[in-house]
Amino acid sequence: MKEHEKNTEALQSEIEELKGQLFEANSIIDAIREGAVDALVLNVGGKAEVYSMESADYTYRILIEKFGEGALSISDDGLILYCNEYFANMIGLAPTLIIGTYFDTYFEAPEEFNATKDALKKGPSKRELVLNYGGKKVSVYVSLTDLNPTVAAIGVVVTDLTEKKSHEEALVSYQKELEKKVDELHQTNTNLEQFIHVISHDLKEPLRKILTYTSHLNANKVDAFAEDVLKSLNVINSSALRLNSLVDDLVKYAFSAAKDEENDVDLNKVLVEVLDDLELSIKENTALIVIEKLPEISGSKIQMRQLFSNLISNAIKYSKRDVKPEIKITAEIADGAEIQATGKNYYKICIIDNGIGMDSMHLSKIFTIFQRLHMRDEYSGNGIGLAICKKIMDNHQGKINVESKLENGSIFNLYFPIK
Amino acid sequence: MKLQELHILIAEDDIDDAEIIEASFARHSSFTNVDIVKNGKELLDYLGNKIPDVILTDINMPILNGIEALTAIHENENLRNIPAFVYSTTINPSYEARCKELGTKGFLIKPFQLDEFYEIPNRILYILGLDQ
Repeated sequence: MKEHEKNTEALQSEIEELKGQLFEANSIIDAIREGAVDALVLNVGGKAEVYSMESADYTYRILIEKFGEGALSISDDGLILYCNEYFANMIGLAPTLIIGTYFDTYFEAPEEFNATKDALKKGPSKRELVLNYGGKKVSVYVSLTDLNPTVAAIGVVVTDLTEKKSHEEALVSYQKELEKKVDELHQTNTNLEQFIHVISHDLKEPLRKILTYTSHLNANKVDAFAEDVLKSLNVINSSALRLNSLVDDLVKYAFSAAKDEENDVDLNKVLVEVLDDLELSIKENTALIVIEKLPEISGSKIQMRQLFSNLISNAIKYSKRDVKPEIKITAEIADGAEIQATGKNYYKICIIDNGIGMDSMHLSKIFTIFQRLHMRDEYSGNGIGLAICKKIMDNHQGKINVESKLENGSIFNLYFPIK
Repeated sequence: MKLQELHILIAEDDIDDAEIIEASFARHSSFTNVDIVKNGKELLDYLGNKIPDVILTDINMPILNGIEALTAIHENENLRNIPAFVYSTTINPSYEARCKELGTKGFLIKPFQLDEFYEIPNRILYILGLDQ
């Protein structure tokens, strides 16, 4: 009897166990039916095997599949449950070969990935990492999202940074190249300055001697020379003097071409200094100079002095014989359209005189070096002053032009970009 | 320094200029001893044996130029107190600045007129405060 009872008990407990198993199986089937399960990991012979299933939500599946970034889902311990084609292409393996392997094995530094994964406890975790599969390295940006408790998995998005990196590298190499060019330019500038010094010195040395010795002859041997010999001596002397002033002007011109340090320059102060320098000439010619309030520009003070000094002394030099020179300097803000630079604003400074003016046919060439409109015995000069002014305005990204009529004065317009 | 018996050492590589500058000092009553050397190296060699009252040097010279010679003089404690003057055809602003650093007393431009050459000794005496 006792034996019988025992059998009944055993059978009933077996029924209970089978009921339990049936319930578990039913709930898994329900879960699969509801789409709550993406994949099953089964322990087969001590090795993890993943079985993935078609999800009920087809649209999302396709989205992830065709996504233009690597997309994966991994288990909490890093086993790849799913990967899309994009990621498979980055690695160079079929998705089926990737699924079921551990994600950290695809990184150059697995510990870095694992640290990123551990950081998930504090919320979404992101980091720049390097994939390395079979020696093929790819810089990527990995972004992790914990999908627990909805799904027991981690969502992974892997962005390929190769293109971005190559752009960055290109930028860095351009930058380096540019720096090299700037250095070369500085060197060229320095060499040029040295060259100008050497040229001016070596050209002036023999000139100075010619002048010293002709002056010596003139002073001491006047009685010994016939008149025509003295005349020849004078020609030699004045030619040497002229060559000397040409060398001086050429050096000035060459220096005006050189870029100087840029500073804020108050043109009002510059003008005070220039008028101070020209005081003698202004007094001798009883010139009247009226200056409006001028702006501050960014540029070279030395070159600004040279510019205004040239323009004002020109205005005095080319005055009418019987009319007192009157020079007015005005300032306003002008649209760049005036000088074919629409859309930019400029400080326009005008130097207006009442001098002899110029024929309009000459206006285009007066800024060219060595262009002279007058005989030397009428007005002195080497034809360099205005060429220097143009160079200086070029240096300041500005412009100079002139309006003039013969016998009717001239207006020189200077345009400085407003920065 | 006595006004009447000054000893000047001049460094000048150009034969013509050397002749004129030597004559300028020789005809001046305050300078009784005028020595000429041809470059910066000879200038330093000379200073190894004798110490003049005043030095006048050109800048552009072969072997060792005026600036290099003045630099060496400035670095030598026994020589740095000799009043030194520079004269040249052109003023290079960077040279002028360097000369000032080296304690050069004056920077003179080589004149165009012979008469002005003869004025150089007076200019030097004036700068040294020895012109009464």
